[in-house]
Amino acid sequence: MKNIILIIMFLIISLPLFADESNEFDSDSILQINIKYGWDNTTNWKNSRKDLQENMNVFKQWDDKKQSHFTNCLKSMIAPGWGHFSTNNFLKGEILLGLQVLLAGSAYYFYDQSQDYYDKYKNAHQIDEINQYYINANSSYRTSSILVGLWIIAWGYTVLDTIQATENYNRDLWQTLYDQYMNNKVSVTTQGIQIRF
Amino acid sequence: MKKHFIYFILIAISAILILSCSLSRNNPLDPLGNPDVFAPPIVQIDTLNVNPDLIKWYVAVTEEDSLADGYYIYAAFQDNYFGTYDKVGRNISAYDTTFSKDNISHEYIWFKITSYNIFESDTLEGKFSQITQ
Repeated sequence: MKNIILIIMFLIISLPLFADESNEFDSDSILQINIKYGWDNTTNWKNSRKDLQENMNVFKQWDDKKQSHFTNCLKSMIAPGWGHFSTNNFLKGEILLGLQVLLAGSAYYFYDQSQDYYDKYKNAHQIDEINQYYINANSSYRTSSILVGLWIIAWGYTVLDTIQATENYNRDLWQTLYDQYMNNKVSVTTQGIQIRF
Repeated sequence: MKKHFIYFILIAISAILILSCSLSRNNPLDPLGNPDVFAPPIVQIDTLNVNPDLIKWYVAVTEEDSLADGYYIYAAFQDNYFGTYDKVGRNISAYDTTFSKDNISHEYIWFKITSYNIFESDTLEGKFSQITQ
């Protein structure tokens, strides 16, 4: 009886020795399905790692050449359109520059005219002249104020639009660099020479 | 959302700037800016006057303080009906409401009159009368 029990135990212990063994280790069976990145097999995982390495290489170039939103906004604050010119958005830069020069120039013209009438008003001694000069001065002054208001809006729009222009520039730059990188069969990086087939 | 908010702030600042802007009436002779000053009375030409060498006028005085301190007489040449009028005479009494054309050049054809009041050594002239010959 004892011998029978020993034989049964031996058979149970040795059972795994008869199991069907595959020739290759199946990493997919132990890899958890990654929902976030869609890696449901090792090929996708490896491709993603390759993409990441390529993106990192492009990113280094992009990071050196990309433009700062803050710098471009500062440029647009100082000189209207400068930020747009920096992002190669020449037409929009010219339009915004022209618009602001026109508004500022017109505002100054009407302000100067209003001051001229206002000086006459202050020195007038006849009641009709006093009224007429005041109306003229006030009218020019209000026109000047409206133009200053429009100028502030145009200036604010220019500064805000510079953010979008810089965003577009950086996005296009990324695309250009990425296309260049992918079209280059041989690329020299800090990690060595890479040949693409 | 943030961008729209910034646009709203910019437009609001501009609107406040536009609506709040107005020049002050700081001419000391401006009745609308200085409550101590009042407009001189309006001069009416006496159309019933039959003497061609004399200009006559009167003022419609409704308040004691609106009495004029005197009158200025302006005249223009034939072609200057709408143009330049020269100051050709001054009456320094509120009650002297006639002017003789004999005192000035006969080339002057058109005439108009204003009354004036003196406020702290500054003279404020009232509205011009209608033009007469």
